[in-house]
Amino acid sequence: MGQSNVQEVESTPEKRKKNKWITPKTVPYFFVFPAVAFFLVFTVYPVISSLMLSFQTRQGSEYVFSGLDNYIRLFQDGLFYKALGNTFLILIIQVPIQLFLAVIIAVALNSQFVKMKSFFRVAFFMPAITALVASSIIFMIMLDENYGLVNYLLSLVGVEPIAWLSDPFWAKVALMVAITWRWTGYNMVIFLAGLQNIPGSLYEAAEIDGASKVKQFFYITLPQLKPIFVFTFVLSTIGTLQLFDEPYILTDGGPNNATLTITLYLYENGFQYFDFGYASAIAYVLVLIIGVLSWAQMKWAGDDE
Amino acid sequence: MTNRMSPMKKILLYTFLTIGVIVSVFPFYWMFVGATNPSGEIFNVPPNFFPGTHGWENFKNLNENIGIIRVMGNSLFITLSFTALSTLICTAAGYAFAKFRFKGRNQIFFMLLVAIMIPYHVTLIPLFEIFSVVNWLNTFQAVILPQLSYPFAIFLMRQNMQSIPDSLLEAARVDGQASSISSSVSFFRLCDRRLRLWRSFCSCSSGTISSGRWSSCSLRRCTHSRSRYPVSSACRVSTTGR
Repeated sequence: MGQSNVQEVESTPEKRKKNKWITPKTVPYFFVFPAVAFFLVFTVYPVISSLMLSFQTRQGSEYVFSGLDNYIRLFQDGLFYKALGNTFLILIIQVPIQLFLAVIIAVALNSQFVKMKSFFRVAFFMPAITALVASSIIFMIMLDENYGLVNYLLSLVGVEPIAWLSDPFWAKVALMVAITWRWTGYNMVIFLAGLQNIPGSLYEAAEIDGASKVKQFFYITLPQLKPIFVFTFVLSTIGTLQLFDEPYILTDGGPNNATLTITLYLYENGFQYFDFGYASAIAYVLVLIIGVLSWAQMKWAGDDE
Repeated sequence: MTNRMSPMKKILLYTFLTIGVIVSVFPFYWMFVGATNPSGEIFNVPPNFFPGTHGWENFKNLNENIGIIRVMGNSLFITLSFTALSTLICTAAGYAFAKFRFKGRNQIFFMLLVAIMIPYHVTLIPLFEIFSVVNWLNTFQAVILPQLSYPFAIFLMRQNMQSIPDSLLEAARVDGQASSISSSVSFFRLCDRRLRLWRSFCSCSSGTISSGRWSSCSLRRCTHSRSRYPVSSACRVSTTGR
């Protein structure tokens, strides 16, 4: 890399001899250089720097090395466990519901009897392209306890107003609803692409053998979709573990930290208490969790084959 | 598959899809209703379900309060420059990975792949520190530069370029374009049509991701005055005050 950099600098003054430096051997470095340079400065350096930070604490205005202090503190921090618990609760409940809905919609849309497929596809995908902030704010308005639309509609069927955003239980539900609304269509499109790759001959053969539509779904569609399941599951897991905007805007982690997520806690420590060392330690524990979970999911998927 | 499906089943299928579409799209409609009615009417009980005529007034108020035109300009500028630069950088890198063999290729590519798995939160704090040291807080470059080299886009570009036969590149070379740069340029021209879709997808996804990420966490810290806000930040701050 350094080599190509030097060549680039030297080649500018002597324009006529330019071709001397641009040979088939050096050309790929010119193409790769900008990407790698930006990557080193804005990703690799921060990643290493925050690893160092996670072993430091602030004393006065200086950061000093403190070994594993941040990590030890983290493992004794009740609030961190709470954030971890909340995040995993969302992961365990929301991700399966979302993927289930996505598969069902994809299968329905893939049916040859459905007209206007592209209309449906666009409509279902729309939430995924909205700014997170906008969608969170619209949910905040609709879920308002006293004046929100959702409680009004519920009152029509005789349900008491629900404190969507200020009750610990319902705040979690509201959060999951908002996330599901946003990401189901996105996953649905991925499943739809997978469905279209299943060879039609499989279904024809099953049809001849007299298998019912339900059986075809369980014995052809689902097994064939397995790689897609793994892919969306890994994506959703990573996404959920990094959940930030929705709880930040909808509930700000409240009430009583019922919707505090790991990244929200990281943000609070970093940018509200300016405890960068501790926040970096949280970030690295998150990296570890994501790494282990992704690895386990891939492994579990790979073992079956 | 056979061509039979009872009308009953068809109705069920369409009902299911229609309910789904209503759930997906209704919040957008509700946003529109809220935007075109006098402020506060979105909280009326019973609610008003129809668009009103206050859209222009609301917009004027918004512009007086947070300078929405300026804010939209900021967003436009950030998005356009980000997309243009990111596409350029990622396409070039993807091309090199797909069509050249060079020392260190696999190592560099592996490094990029590993980066996809690292949560971006890890980089927030050091980036914030870098930007405060070089006095870049509250500038556009602090928003645009960090994610320009976007591994996922490079990966997609590489995959796609690999599917384009080498013979096209050879043909360009034979056509008398001696230097590798100009043959590369004509290669790009040749595969332009095939790549257009992917390119727009890449820039679109990277654009969305970057705007989403930066709107949420550190953008707030990196651009803290209204004159630099993109739409999402202005929207959040004026609603939640945070």
